[in-house]
Parts: sequence; C-alpha cells; structure tokens
Amino acid sequence: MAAKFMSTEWIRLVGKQWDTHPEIQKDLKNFNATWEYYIEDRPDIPHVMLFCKAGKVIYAGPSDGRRRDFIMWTNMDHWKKILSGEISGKSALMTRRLKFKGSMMTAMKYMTPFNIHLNILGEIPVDFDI
Amino acid sequence: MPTSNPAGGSTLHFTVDPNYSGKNLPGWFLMNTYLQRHLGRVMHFQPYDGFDACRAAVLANQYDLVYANPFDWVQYVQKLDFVPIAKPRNHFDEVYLCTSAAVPIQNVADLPTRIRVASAHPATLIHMVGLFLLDKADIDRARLEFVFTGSYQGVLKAILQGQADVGFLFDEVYAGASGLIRDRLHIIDRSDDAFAFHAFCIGPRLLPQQALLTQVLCQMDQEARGQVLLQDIGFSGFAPVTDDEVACLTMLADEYISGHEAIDLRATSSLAIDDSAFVVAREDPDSGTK
Repeated sequence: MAAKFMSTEWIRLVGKQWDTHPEIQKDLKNFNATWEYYIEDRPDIPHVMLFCKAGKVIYAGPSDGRRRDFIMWTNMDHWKKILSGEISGKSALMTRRLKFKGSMMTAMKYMTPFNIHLNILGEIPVDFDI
Repeated sequence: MPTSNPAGGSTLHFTVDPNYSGKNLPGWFLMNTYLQRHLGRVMHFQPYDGFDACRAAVLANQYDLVYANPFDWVQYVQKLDFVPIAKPRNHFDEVYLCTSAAVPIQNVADLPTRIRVASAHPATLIHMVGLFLLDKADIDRARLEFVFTGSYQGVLKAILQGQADVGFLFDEVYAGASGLIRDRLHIIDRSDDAFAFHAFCIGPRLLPQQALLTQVLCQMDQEARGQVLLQDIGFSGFAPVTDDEVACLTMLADEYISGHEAIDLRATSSLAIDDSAFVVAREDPDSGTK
C-alpha cells in the first residue's frame, strides 16, 4: 500500500530508500545539512524533514523545530510533476516551480546529488489522495 | 572607448564579456552591424581585454548593451537597472580543468602538493565552479596558489607556458581555441551543471526597444544572415531570459560575491558535526509511529 504523500511514513521510506543509493552518499560525503519539505497549497499537512550527515540520512520524520538549512516547497500539482520526473530538479529550481530557501551555491555545488535526491523522492510508491 | 555617460548622445554603446576578445572578435563587430541595422540606431562596439576594465566601464554607465557573464550581469541588473533579455539557446557556462598536455598530469590525483591554479578572475562563475570541481576531488583549498590572469586567453597562456599546473577554463574558450592549442591541453575534469549563462543585457536607453531587440536576437536563427553570424560567434541561437532565471542566478551571485561558502563539512557547515548535538536519531519506518 502506497504511503500518503508528505506523511511521516512517506519521509521515513525516503530515508530508507536513500540507503540504496551509494552514489548520493558518496557525492555528499562532505555534506551536512537539514532540509524540510511541504505542500504550499495544503497548509493542513505537517512539514517533514531529512537530516543528512556526511552523506547518510540520520533523521527522516516530522519537522521538529530544529534549524533547517534548506526549505523546499511547491503546490501539489508541481510536486506530482517533480516526483514523476516530468520536471527535472534543476529545471524545477531554475524556474522556481520548486520553491527553495537556503544556499543556492550549495544547491549548485551539489546539483547532481540534488537531482538524485529528487529521483529518490519519486521512487517511493505514493498516494497523493491526502 | 566612451569617455562619459553616453545618455545624452544618439549613439548606442555595446560591449561583450572580455573572453570574447579573442578568436570570435570579428564576429562580434559584425553582430554590432547586424543589430544596428535591425534597431535603426547607430551603435559603437568596444571590446575589452580584461574583466576589471570591462566591468568598470559598464558600471560607469558607458554602455547600453552588454553581453555579460552571469556574475557581471547580476551586478548590472542590481546597480544599473539593466535587464537581461536573451541568452544562448541550450547552452550554459561550463568549466574545464585544463593542464598542459606536456606535463604528466592525467587526472586530479596527479596534481602536485602545492597547486598553481590559473583563473581569469575570482569574481566569476567559472572561478566558483572551478573551485567546486577541486572540492569534489577532495583537493584541500590550502594547497591552491592562484594566478589571476584577467582573461581566459591569459589562463590558456599560463597553462601552456608552465606558469600554472591547472587552469579554470571557460568551455567556450576551449571550444573556440585552434586545434593546435587544444592539442597542447589536457582536460582533467569538467562541470556539467547546465545552470548559469551569459546574457545580453540592456540599459535604460534601450528599454523602449526591449521587445524589438529581444525578438531580433531570438529570431536570428530564422534568417540566412543571422545564421551565418551565429556561426561566427559560436552559438546556435538565442532564447529569452525569464524573471525566474534572473532571480535564481541573482541569489547565487549574491551569495558568492558576499563571500558565502557552500555548506560543507570542511568549510562552513551551519551545523555542529558532533553527534551529541542530535536529539533524534534516524527513525525507521518499521519502528516508529506513523
């Protein structure tokens, strides 16, 4: 059964899926940051976050109030397109269909793992009926 | 070179990023003629050899049209109210890490302990991305000694004359170099970001003709004369610049110019690396509440 999009179950599956991608762990071996996701047009849905330390996800769950280095958000329609791969990560960022708060330099420096990370989000069977 | 603000005169002034003062220069003079004809305005073209002189002249309000590198056009937008109107179609600024083919450096791991790096200018996207490439190869920045050459032609010379072990070269400069020069270079790494781009920017005096000039530039590939000219200056065509792209690259340039560093364990991570700082460990789907 697919996890509800942007649920705690979904973000935890994302964290688990991350483990199956050694390439992103290698690319991010010097990277240490937290980031949060939310749905712009669904303020009733709680935000979720990931914490990556030296390439490994060490926290995947509800946004718990700790400092976030990046925040990514957009409306449900754009989330669907990003997760399906219809919009690439770079394109989503450049056209601001994926809203982004945080260091743009870091996003550019780690553009390849950024794209892999969006692919990982799309690999989780998801139920958008929320 | 214009000596004063040309705002009162009828002649428009046009310049290009200094990396075009090499092989493609005749094409840019022809480009000036082409744009004059389509705009119905007299326009004077002036190239520069170095980034600082070009940037200073544009910031002194001496130009109406500039084909500028991304970090420069962001400055022109912010300081002079310039508007980026057109960019190369399907073409982005990329960086090659080049060494001389005459030295036994085949990859980044072969670089010496102290690395002499030739770079055109520290305030360029090419320099920033060159640093990123070295970072990704785990090259400690403390090992780097920079030779700033003021232009990409200078980077080429520094590599070929043995004044630098490696150079940050703009991909268009490499592509535009003669086969003889390219044979003497070895690319040890390259970026593939497809993120930032040069752009034609117009100043306030050209704003009334913004739509016309954008159309002229973006339709060059649809007529014979324009196609030849595009070939001369090394592009397949131009496309409009969107407000979102301007906003995105402005964020990037602002961070870089202000001395910000990308988040990195070795640099300026905003987070403590000590595990004890983390209250919540990783939660597995099977163990936690949903």
